Amino acid sequence: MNIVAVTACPAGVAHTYMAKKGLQKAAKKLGYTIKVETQGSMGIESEIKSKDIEKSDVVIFAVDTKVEKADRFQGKKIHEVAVADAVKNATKVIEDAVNNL
Amino acid sequence: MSENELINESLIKLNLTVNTKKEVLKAISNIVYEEGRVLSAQQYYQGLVEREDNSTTGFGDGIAIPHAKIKEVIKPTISIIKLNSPVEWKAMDGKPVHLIIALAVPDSQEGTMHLQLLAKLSESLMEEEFTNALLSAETSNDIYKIINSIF
Repeated sequence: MNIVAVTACPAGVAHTYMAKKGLQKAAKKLGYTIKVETQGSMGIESEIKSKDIEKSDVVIFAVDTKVEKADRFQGKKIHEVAVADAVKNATKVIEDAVNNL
Repeated sequence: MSENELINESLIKLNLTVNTKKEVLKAISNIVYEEGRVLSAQQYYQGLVEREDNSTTGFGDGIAIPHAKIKEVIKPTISIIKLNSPVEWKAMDGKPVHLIIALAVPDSQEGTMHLQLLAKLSESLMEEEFTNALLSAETSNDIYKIINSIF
C-alpha cells in the first residue's frame, strides 16, 4: 500500500508536523509506505512529486486549511480529515482511507 | 546561554498553581514577556486564546502545545509550565492538562532555522519516550536538557 499525504494547519507551527509524525508512525505500524508533505510556516516541504501521486493507492489530506498545488492530485480519490485527527489517531485515519478505497 | 536559544531555564516554571486554562495562558504570556521575548504580554495572550478558540492544542495525555504566531514576537520562544494540579483544556482525549509547552513565533518568514527546531519539537511530542521524559522531569534544568537533546 503506497500512501501520499499532505498535512497543513493555519499557523503551520505545531500540528502540521505532529500530524506528519503521527501518519508516519501509523503507516510504519500498519506496514504501509507513506510520503508526507508538510505545508506549514516554512512553506511546502518534502513536496510530493507527480510520479509519487501516480504510484499511490491512497491520498490523505490532514488539513485545516486549503491545500496548495492541489491540482496535482486531480483524478485521485482523496481522503480528507482534520489535522487534529492525524494527531489524535493517525492509525484510524489511514485505516479509514484504505477502507474507503 | 546563547541568545539564539529558543528556551532558557527562566522560561520553565514548575509547580505552578492555577485554576483555569485562561490563567495558564496568562501566566505563560507574563513569563515570556518578562523574559523580553514578546513586545506585549496582552497581544501574546490574545494570540494564544484565538488559536485555542480555533481548535484545542491539548493533544492528549495531559499535555498541550498552545502557540501564537504574531508580529509582536521578538524572539521565537518555547516556554514550559508544569501545574500542581491539572486544568480542563477541552483536550483531544478529554483529559485535563498539567504539562504545557507554549510557543511564540514571529509572524514573518525570517528565522527558518528556529521554525525547523519548533517543527522538530512538534514531531518529538508524538514520541512517547520524549513526552514521558518531560512528564517525569522534576527540575527546570532537566526539562531544559530534554528539550535541547532533540535539537
